[in-house]
This record gives sequence, structure tokens and C-alpha cells, in this order.
Amino acid sequence: MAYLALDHLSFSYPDATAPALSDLCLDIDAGSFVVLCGPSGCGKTTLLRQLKPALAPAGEREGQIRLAGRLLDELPARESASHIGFILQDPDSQIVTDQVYHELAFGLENLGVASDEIRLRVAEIASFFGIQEWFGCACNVLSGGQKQLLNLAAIMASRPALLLCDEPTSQLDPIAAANFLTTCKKINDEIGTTIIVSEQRLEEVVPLADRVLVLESGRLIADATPEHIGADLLAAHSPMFAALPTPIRLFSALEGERAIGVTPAPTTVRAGRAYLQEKLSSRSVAEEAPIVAPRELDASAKPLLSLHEVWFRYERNAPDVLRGLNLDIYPGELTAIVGSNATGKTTTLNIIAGLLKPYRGRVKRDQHMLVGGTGTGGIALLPQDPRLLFTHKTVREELTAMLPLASGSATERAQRLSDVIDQCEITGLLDRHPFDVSGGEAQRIALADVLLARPRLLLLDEPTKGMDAIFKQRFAKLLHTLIAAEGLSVVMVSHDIEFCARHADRCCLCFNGEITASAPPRPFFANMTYYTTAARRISRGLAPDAITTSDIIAALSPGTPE
Amino acid sequence: MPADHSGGFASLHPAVSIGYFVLVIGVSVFVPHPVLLACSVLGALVLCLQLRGGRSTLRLLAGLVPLALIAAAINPLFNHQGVTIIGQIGGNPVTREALLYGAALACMLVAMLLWFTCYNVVVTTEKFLAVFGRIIPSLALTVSMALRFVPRYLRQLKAITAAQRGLGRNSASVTDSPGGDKYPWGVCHAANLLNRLRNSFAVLSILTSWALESALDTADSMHARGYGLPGRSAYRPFRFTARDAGALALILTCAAVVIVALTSGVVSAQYLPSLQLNLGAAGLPANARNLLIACAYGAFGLLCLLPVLFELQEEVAWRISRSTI
Repeated sequence: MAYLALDHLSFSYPDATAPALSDLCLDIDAGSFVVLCGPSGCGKTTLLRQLKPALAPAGEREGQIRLAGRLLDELPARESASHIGFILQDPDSQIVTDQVYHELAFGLENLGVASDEIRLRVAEIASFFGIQEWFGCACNVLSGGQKQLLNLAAIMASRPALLLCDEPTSQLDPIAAANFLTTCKKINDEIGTTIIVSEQRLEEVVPLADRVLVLESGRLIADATPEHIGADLLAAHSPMFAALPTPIRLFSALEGERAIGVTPAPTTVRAGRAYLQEKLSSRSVAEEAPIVAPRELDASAKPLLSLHEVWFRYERNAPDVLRGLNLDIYPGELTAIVGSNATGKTTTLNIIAGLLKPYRGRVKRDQHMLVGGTGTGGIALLPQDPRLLFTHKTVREELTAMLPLASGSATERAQRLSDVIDQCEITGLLDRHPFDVSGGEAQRIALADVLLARPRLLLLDEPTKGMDAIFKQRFAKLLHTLIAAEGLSVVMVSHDIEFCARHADRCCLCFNGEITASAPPRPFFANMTYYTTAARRISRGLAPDAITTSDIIAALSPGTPE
Repeated sequence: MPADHSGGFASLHPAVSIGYFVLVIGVSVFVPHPVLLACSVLGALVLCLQLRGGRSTLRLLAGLVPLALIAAAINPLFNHQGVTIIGQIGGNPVTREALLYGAALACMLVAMLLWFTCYNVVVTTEKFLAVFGRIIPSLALTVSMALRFVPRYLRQLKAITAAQRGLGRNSASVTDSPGGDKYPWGVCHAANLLNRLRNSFAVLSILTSWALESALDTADSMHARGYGLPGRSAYRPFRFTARDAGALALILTCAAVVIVALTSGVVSAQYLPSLQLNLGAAGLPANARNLLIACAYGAFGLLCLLPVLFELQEEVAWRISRSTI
């Protein structure tokens, strides 16, 4: 008897034309670690919420859900609160109280646990999660990663048997995300809690899982172990294949049809290397692999904007954030600034935008190239959270309000508006409230918002955060179209090195307030061992200069690009 | 528990320390007796020095002393009762009694403010909530949630303003730009008050939408974790120990003596029209009266110095234990 059983589960939101979930049949064993993935809007959140009665959305449901043999609807509220834990996306808004200890006790207080018992449970949970160091802190001084760990700990304090996580790492940086996921794995391994986690970034979480479920438009299109999911998705011609971890994609691409159902695919970098090594011994490598030719950078181009020996600190007595930073931004390029947290990336972006002023050093820019400039002279800065921009009730009003910043006659402006709407693919969203759309959609609306003014330089702060793999590719295409068609230059700050390796023209490593290296992505990432793409880590020493899966494939089989 | 100062007096159970402050501040504010006030100011000042250090206390006094002097000066200027005239200002008599009464009021003010300063160090918000959360649990949770909201809202407001500036929607971005030059866009907008108002309104509207969205999340999180189930318990992070019981007993004993002396009128103070101390309960024999007065002075003195003694005792115990290592 399966622990969690879904029997022909369908669900439709009120007034929706298509069902959000259709005819899902699923058995999940106790103690399994399941990853739920799919493009945004595919029904991941809806499915997870169906499994938690307190959070189930209003709508029409058919079919049954059984938990340990009992119908989920018949589970008493108290049991459902303590047995099923649910982690939401935003680490900040799900924290209720202002003190860490109180947050840990909150769920137990609700369940009416006696004070002495709470003391014990809080103590053991704090020890298990290693949060003694910030146990005495107020919640608002914690980092995003710490907050999400606190949410996890607070939920585990009531000892649930089933833990549901709805894109828990989408707001976290890669290190905090990996930390959160390994903690989930630890809970799964050491406590035996059944875990279902929905994710966009699959590189880290898939190797930890026992099972991967893929949803598309409310249907289950694949259900397999991490070792076999690649073959399944490839056979189904699903675009979700692009989201899978590098070793799996590499394996499936190289093995093709043979991969299906036969040999397990490698899921980790280590297994990927072993596989590649074996593969190489049986085949000859194209030594001088021309690989996928990189876009030639114009060496003689004059920088559009340059930062020279820039020093910056936020307060007089605060430490320096930027320490003699040098950076040239070239016209018509997509420049990516990568680096870990708190190295000065976002500060650099603000300096480029002219929103912050260095106390030493120079920013060489065209006189009119500032934030808010009209015509083709301006700079636009898109924040991490696009929702910070929306001031109107519908997307249409939002865009119309930005129109006065666009130049030209009324007809030209109207033309511009419809062009931008097409480019950003937001035609279907025009009558929605900008807060009512998914993260990726909000990102597109925000982009449309800033593009109306035809900026010359677009600055993006973590644009791929919360985007699904499919949309990331479309987003990259959109950026390159804009660069080619409008002569736009783009600077993005990102943690997403896989994206930067594939799509940037130039990558800069920011560390300790300086740009430590700046080069086109291939030499940039090929030169690194630790801070580099998974494909590079797999192929290091095996395929020269390969930094993406297609590079490796090209190196192995000359003449057949992906 | 988190607190900048957590040893000595501050490590007592919050119910004891809150009760203590209520008692001491109450007596200091309602009884303008010179001896009691002197004890109160002295105790509060020494405790303040111990808890906050010399520098911070000096800075506090630099603000307090002028305030006290003004308070002391105002009374004799406007109050002309009293039998001993010591001078004249603007044709009005200044009396010794009015001067003394003013001084007493000033001491009262200083004592109260110093005690409140100490209270803030000793009784942190979560201690307050731990005590009152048992009496009114829903209020305690509301306060705790509000305490979390305020810094979050401020941070979000900052983020929104920054994001709006990034689009050039805020006039500040032009005036703050390097060199402070006027750019075409800035000229037509920077000085425009209406536009600025519109920008502020936009920022506020985004903040409101965001707050509602995030409140929905918070409500989900509370609901998911069983908020609203009957029989909610309250976690008590503080334990009531024998040490707390001892301290409480000592405080209550001292308080009983002081209160008996005050309610019987044996210890009392009258400033106007003439200064008369400890005149009540005239029927009692002189010996008994004097004994009660002495006991009341001693008890209140001990009460005011109790936190100081706790701090000192801990300091001594620490030195001894260190020297034996």
C-alpha cells in the first residue's frame, strides 16, 4: 500500500477554461524523496497544495487522495497540521513572529503542546539544523538562506511525516539553495520523512532524489528515477529535457535511442566524468575541436561606458564594497558579471546606472547616458524583483503609463508599444493584474516596461532567478534579438553561471570589490575548475575548452552540432 | 535569551523584574518624599552606570540635568504658596517651600526617566511578551507580528524607491546624479511637485500591493501550521527558579514595609504651605513611629539598591570563581 496515493485526481480553478491538473494517478512510497518539475504554470503548486488540505485552493476537484490509506479530506485538522509540512517560495513572508525561538515554537503552540515539551523540541530541532548560532536573533537580521532553513526547522518541529516544498530555493543564491536541499536530504535520510519538492533548478536536486515527476499543462508526462528521466523526456520530445542536470543531458544526447530504459544515466559530475572517460576510450576525440564557434568580439570597439579604479562604500565608517574596480562595457554586447554573494555585483550595477557615486575613481560615460534619459540615450535598471516596478492595475495600463518616456509621435509610440508587447510575448497578459502573473511573466512585463523608452544600456539584476529552463532560453533569445535589432547593450549580474556560459558575450568575475577576470565565456569558464559550469567540470582534462553540453558533444562527434 | 545585558538582575524571571520596576517607579512617582526620592535617584543612577556604562550614562545625564533644572525652576516661578519668602522675581514672591517642591518634582522626573532607561535594558520586548503573552496570548502574537512587519516594510519601501529610481521614475535620481547637472529629463520633472507626489503615491501603492500579497503568504503559513486550532498553548521561554522566588520574597517584604509606612502616613511629605515630613498617625508612640520610619527608609533603600546588589554579587562571584580556576 502506497503511503500517498492519487487516484485520477483532476482539478480546475473556478472560471478556468482548462483544468489545472488532469487525471493524475500516482503512488508515492513512504520515505521517498520526490522532485516535481515542469515549466512555470504547469500545475506544480496546485498539485502540492492539493496535498495539504489547509492550503488547497478553491475549485472543482475530482478523484481521491489517500494518505496512509485514509482519505485526505477525512484527516482531522490537527493531524493535517502536524503530519503535513508545507514550505512556500518566499522565505520572508512565511515567517510569522519576530524571534527565531518563537518562530520555532509557533507551530507547536498552535498544536497546544505543553511548554516543557516545546522547550525540548525546540532544543532538538535547533541542534539538528545547526541554528544555535542565530537562535537568539531577531528574524529580520537573518539572510535569505537562514530564513528558509528556519522555516524548514519550524515545520520539522511538529514532526511531520510528509514534507511538501514549493520551489523553496527559487529566492536563494546557489550556495544557500544547495545548503537547503542537502538539509532536506538529511531529513529524508536520517528521519525518513517523505519529501516532495518542486524545483526549477534541477542541477543540484535531481541527484538527491529517488524519483522525478514531470508535469506539463497539468498532466504527468514523465515519472522515473533520475537515472532514467533523461531518456523518458527525450523520447517524449519534452522541452523540459533542457532543464535536466548536465550529466543526464550529456548522456542522453550521446547515447540517443540506446539510452532508453537500458543503462542508468550518470546524475552527478563524478559519474558524468567516469562516463565520459569510458566513452572517450572507445572513440577518438576531435583534437582541434572547432566546437560551436563563439561570436567574434570586436577587439577595436570603444567602450560604451567604463569604470576606472572605482572605490565605494555605503557609509563613512563602513568597509569598502568596491576596491579599485575596473570594468569596460562594450556596445552591442551581453556582459555578465558573476560572483558569489556580497562581492559588490549589485553595487557595481548601481554605479553603472549612476544611482550611486564612487568616492574615488571615475565613471566614463556619455553625457546623456543616465538613468531616466529618453530616446536612445538612457540606461534602465531592472531590479531582481520585477514586482517592485508595477504601479497599475492591469499590465496594459502599466505599459501605457510608461509611454510618455518613449520618443516620437503618437503613432510611433503606439507602434513601439505593440512591438514591445510582441517581443516580450505578453499579448495574453495585457488584462491581468501585474501581481497576478508568474515570476517569469512578471519579468517579461518589467522588461517590456523598460524597453518602451528604448534604452541604450539595459542593466539586469539576477534576471534568471525563478525562471524555468524553457523560458530562460527564450529570454536569452529575446536579449540577443534586442541587441541585434536595437543596438542595445546589456549588463547582467547573475549567479546563474550555466546561463552566462551559454548566452553571454563577455563574463566578468567579481570578487572582493574587484573585477578579477574578464573574458568571453569560453576562455573564462574553461580556465576555472571550481567556479565553472557542470559541463566544464565533467569534461575538464577530457575535452578541451568545452564549457557546455553541446561543446562536449561537438568535441566527441565532429560535424554533428546539437 | 538575547539581550545585550543578560547577567545579574537581568537574568531574573521577567515577571519579577517587571513587578520590581512597576513598584519602584510607582513609589518614586507618587510619593515626593525627599529621602525616598534620594534613594530612588541614587539606585537608578548606579544601576544605569552598571548596565549602560559610564559614557552612555553621562550622555544621558547631559540631557537629563538641564531638563531637571528647568522643571525645578518652573515651580517656584509660578507657585507662590509657602511661608518662607526668600526673594522676589517680577514682583512675585519666591518661596523656599515652592523651591523645594520644584526640586522634588525634578528628582521625581529624573528618577522616573533613569528607571525607564534601566527597564529598557533589562526587560526586552520578548520578555515583556513572555509575561503578557500568558495573560493575553492573542495580543502577544499580534505585537510579535507587528514587530516583524515594521522592519520588513521599511526594507521593502527602500527597495521600491531604488527600483523606481532605476527606471528614472523618481526625480531624486536626477538631482543625485554625478555632478548634479541638469539633464533634459530632469529639468522638466525635478522641480515638479505634482510629479513628486505622484511618484510617492505610486511607491505607496506598490508597497500596499506587496504587503497584501505577503500577508496572504503569512496567513497561508499560519494556517498550514495549525493556527486557529482550539487549545493553543503558550511557550514560556523563561523558567521561574528558586532564585526568582527568593528575589520576589525580598522585594515583597520591602514593599510591604514601605507600603504600611506610606498608607499609615508615618512616612509622608508635605511641602506647602510649610515643609512637614512624617507627620501622620500621630496617635502612635514616638518609639514605634521612629522605628517604622527607619524600617521604611531602610526597606526602600534596599529595594532601590537591589538590582545594584545583584549586579555586584555576580561580579564578586565571577571574580572569586575566576581566581579559583
